[in-house]
Amino acid sequence: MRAVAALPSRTLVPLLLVLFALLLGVVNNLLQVREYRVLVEQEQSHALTERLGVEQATLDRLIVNGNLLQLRRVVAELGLRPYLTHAYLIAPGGRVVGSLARADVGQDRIDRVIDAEGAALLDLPVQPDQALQIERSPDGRALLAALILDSGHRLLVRSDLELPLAQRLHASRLELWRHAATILLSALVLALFLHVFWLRRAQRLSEAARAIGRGHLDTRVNIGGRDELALVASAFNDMALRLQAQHDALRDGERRMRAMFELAGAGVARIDTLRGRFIEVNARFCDIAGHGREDLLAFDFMQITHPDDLPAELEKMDALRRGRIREFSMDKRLCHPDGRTVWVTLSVTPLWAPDERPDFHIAVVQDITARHDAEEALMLERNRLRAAERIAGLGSWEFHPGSGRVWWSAQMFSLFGMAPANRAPTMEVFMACLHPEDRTAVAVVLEQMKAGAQTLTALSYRTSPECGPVRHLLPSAQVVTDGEGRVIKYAGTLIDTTEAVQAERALRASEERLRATLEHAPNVAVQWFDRDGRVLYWNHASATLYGWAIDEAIGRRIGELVLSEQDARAFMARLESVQRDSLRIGPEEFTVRHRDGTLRYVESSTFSIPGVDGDAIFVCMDVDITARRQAEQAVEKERTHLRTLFAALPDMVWLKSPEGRFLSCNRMTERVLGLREDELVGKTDYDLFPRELADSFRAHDEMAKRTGGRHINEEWITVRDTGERILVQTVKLPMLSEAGELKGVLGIARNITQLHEAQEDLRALNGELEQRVAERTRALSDAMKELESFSYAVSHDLKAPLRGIDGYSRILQEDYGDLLDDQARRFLGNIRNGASQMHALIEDLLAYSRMERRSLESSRVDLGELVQSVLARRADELAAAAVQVVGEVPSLIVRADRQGLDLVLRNLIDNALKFSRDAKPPVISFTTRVDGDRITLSIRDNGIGFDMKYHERIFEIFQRLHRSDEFAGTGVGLALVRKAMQRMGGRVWAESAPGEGACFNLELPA
Amino acid sequence: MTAGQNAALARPLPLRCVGLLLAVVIACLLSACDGPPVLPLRVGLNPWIGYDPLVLARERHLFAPAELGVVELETSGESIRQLRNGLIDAAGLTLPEAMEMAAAGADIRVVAVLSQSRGADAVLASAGLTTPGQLRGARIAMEDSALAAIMLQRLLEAGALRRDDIRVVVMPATEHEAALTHGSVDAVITFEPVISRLASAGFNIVLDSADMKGEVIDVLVVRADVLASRPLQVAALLQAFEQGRRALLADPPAAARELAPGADLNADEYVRALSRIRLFSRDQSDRMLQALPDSPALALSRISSDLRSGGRIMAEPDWRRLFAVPAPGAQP
Repeated sequence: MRAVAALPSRTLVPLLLVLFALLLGVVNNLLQVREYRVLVEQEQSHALTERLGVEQATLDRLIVNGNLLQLRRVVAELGLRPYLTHAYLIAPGGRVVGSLARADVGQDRIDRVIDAEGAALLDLPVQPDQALQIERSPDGRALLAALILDSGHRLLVRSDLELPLAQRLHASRLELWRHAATILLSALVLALFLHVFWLRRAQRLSEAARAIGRGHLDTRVNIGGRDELALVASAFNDMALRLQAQHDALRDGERRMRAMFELAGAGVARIDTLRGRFIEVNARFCDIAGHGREDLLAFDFMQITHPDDLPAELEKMDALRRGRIREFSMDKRLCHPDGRTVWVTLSVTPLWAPDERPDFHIAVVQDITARHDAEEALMLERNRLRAAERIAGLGSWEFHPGSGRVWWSAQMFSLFGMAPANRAPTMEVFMACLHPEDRTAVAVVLEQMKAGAQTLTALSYRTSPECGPVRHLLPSAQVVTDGEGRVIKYAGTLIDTTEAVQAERALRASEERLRATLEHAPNVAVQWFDRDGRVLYWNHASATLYGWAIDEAIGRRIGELVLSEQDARAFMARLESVQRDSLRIGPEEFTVRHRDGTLRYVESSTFSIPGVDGDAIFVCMDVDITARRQAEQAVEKERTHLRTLFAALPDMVWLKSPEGRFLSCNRMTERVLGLREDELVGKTDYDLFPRELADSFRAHDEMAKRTGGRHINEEWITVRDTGERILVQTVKLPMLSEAGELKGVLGIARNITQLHEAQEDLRALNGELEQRVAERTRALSDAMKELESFSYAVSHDLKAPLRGIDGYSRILQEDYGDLLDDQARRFLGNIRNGASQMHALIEDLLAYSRMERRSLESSRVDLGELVQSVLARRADELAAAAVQVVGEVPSLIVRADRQGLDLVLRNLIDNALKFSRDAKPPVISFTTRVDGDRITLSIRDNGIGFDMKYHERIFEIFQRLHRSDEFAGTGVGLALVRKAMQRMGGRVWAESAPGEGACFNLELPA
Repeated sequence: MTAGQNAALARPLPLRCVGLLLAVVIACLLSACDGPPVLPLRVGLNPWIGYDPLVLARERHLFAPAELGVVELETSGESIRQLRNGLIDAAGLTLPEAMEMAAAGADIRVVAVLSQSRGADAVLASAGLTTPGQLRGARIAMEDSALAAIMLQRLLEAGALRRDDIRVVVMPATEHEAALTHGSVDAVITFEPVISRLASAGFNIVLDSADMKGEVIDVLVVRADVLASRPLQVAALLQAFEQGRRALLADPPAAARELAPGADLNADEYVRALSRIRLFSRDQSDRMLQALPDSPALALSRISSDLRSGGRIMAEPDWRRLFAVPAPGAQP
């Protein structure tokens, strides 16, 4: 490092440039790799979404059909995807029913078969409202996906990212090399230029500067040229000239300063800052210190300073040395050789510049011994008075009516929130410190004082809120008269009574709040009684509860108001008990009588509080529970009806907890299972049935929980008592609390054996027909697989030569364009347009094919947010075409597949952009309409529009209304929009007329 | 030492730095000249236990996952489709299927003869149907494959039946068991492990491959471009099959415990099914391939003739192009 720092800049700068270029190359490479990583992740995530979307439908069907072997093969076939390394299909009980590795199948626990690379799949969080979830693995090397099927099965998949990234990097290596070489070459050329044209001349300039530094002030430099460096050289020559002149002027100045030093009226000394030694002292300094010049030059300043003042001075000197202060001044004592103490004012000024090392400072001293003694005596008196006032919280003042002179003690200033001062404030300032409401009264008293009144009006007043917290002040005054009774002055005090006033107010406010709470408590009826049971207090809630107004109730006995005579006697006994034992009784339930004769149920608490004259006051607090009691009675009645119905039902009915434990069942269930309800409760399907059957029951429970509605299936079961095999049709539905929380799954099973037998006969008749349908379906399935496999081949194999055609024709156009005539160049342009058109067509066809095959997820999508997202991604195109976007889509939730709806919006906005390009300006407007459970989004443009007789045609695949040289396109976009909308349970239609723009409407379920 | 030499020694550091930097740059550029990352060679297998040596080799980690990927597919038709469309690089097929595929123009090479069926392909029928002749009017389920077509041909010959006497229902092998059990067909032309499951359930074997010498042969097929560009991976594939075969034959019950559950068999059924298959070693395979086109073990002429008469191929494929002789990585 030291060797590098020693290098001359003509070598170091080019070297640094090359280093910088290399660093730039590396950073550029890293950024490219990062960008490719993001791209690859997006591509693979998209591919995985598509793939699992297609597989979802197949797996759901195979699980329902129970074809385990085929199910395994479908999972194993996922290995066809080149980057997919792990795939596990897991049953609700945790058993592995499908995997890329055959030995995994049938294992009870996934964590026993999964390897370290795939272990992250187990930590993938499951979100109940999302069937497919894709996340990047914690180490960033793979994508992890979890697909939740309707039956509760989970498909866990890991797709590698490193291999596709490596392939992408390999494909882009030439581009990366080109970037790096360009950067490095540019840096080398720049370094060479700097070395030849700049740094060699700079070296000559630096040599000249070094000569000036050595004292050769007559040095001059000539490096030629007219650039900034030449200007610096010229300025350098001027500077050398000025330096010479200044050097001579400095010598004259020094002589004059020395004469002033010796003749100064104050003592001046130059002192070595680090050691404290006197370097120079003038005659006056020797007089004040009482030492001769020779003696002082042998001392340091610590030796003549009084020991008590030395620490403070040393501290300030330290601050000065460290640069924390630039100078200081202080009073201190010197020890005179005759034993006296000499008070001086010391001013110290450093002689070094702020960034330099401390060397010397100037100390100026003035003798202040006489003045100091007088001030000390005065200060002692004042301090005594201030201490007394501060302790008493008392200010004192004087007013001389003759001269108008006013004196305030320090505490007076403090009471008015002012800083202590030598003079009392003016009348205006004093009045401004008073509370605006008290100013008039104080002004009256002040007028009395000015007039020399013998007696003054008594008053108290407050400080203004503008001077800080308001204080309450109580003044007192004493009149001092001369021998003839004329007032000489008023002397008085001022006491701060704020705390006493505030305490009184708080007490009153608390009492008011308590009373208001009692009066207006809506549900709590409060009454006070004396020892004879007469009403002393009756709040509004009591009046409402019992029908007796407050005025009517006060003074009456309880027996006259709400209780029967017998209950009133019990009430009196209760009061006696409360008084005797100092108890609080309740809350207890009572039946009371309203004034209109109806009975009410109340919960009442009774206790006593002391009265004003020492007698106890009895407080009753009643809460009306009549409505609650009536509701409880109604619920009990309904429950009895339901129990009877439940027990008598001819179907099996049971309830299971969300975890699958039986909570209750009816008699028919007891009979079929051969267990009493109390024996059944707490058991699971796995305690009662074989594992395969229990797995199936659990899977159906899970389906009911997931779909949130009725789930129906049929099962063969054996009646335990008779051994009879019966077919039951089971309806399962989730039981939810009012808050929507899952409480359990209700099952109702009906014996449909006879119905089934009848259906079997019918089914046998239809067998032949079904067989043919199955064959056709299989043929169709084969065709679909062929299409899927073909699509994959198309997307990879057909696009590769297309890229070659486009790439080579571009090279021809760019590198050999000059050698071709116009016709040849036009042909080349046609080839490129054709390749581009074919690429778009392949992409659109693949998208259409995927839209037909993949399973769509019905999730809650925020329409407003999605439209904004699509517009943000099209921001560049919209800005380039100067499109005005009108209207804002509010945050409306629709049920749709997010990717599908995104595709629809992208196509429609692209369409609007394309067909309104000639409008001035192009306008795309959005409106929404909510109609019950349907939401309609309209996208309108002001483009060329179309004739409504073509309305159906525009939504068909490959149908176009314009030539491709007028408007580019493949004729797939709107077909894709219609297909996606149909598959999402929505619809799309258009409204238009030629030349009047077009409006596309999307209707989706809310 | 001259003054010029002194000056040269006084300035070595920057020159050394520049030299070092250039060396780093050149090293970086050279490191970027590596070939493209190579995907594992993917081989597709349908559920025929004659291919299980490769499955066992995968389960026991006898090859590196970066070299090979074994994908289990639903049917041989699926293997052919994915091989043709380039989603897999190699596949286990029956010899008739390989010939049919080559005749259809696919540029493929047979690189090994894997196994011979000695009863592991068969026709099974419901109770009461024990001879081929009794299948007149029956519904017979089979895969849409060349081998199934040849089996059907033999069945018709053995029962003196015409094509119109029976009704063919095409379905994948994974559905054969359910179809026969539920009675939606009367017989199935199928292969192991389905045969063992159906035989255990009491269905009758009407005809099997034990007497069809040289016809029910399984081979390993590789796309020609893959064989040319990735010969080492193909050699690794052959090596993996050989290692799997040895592991399978060394301790069949242990292998059965690993592989049987995934084939819906128990270990005993699996071992019995395995006994109906002869797995060829690498040497045996090479000798058969070197003896072509007149290898007595491979009845090419008969298969070709059957396929032509069944309308599955129009002309004989070019045998010299179809078989890679000698096999890559062959043992001396």
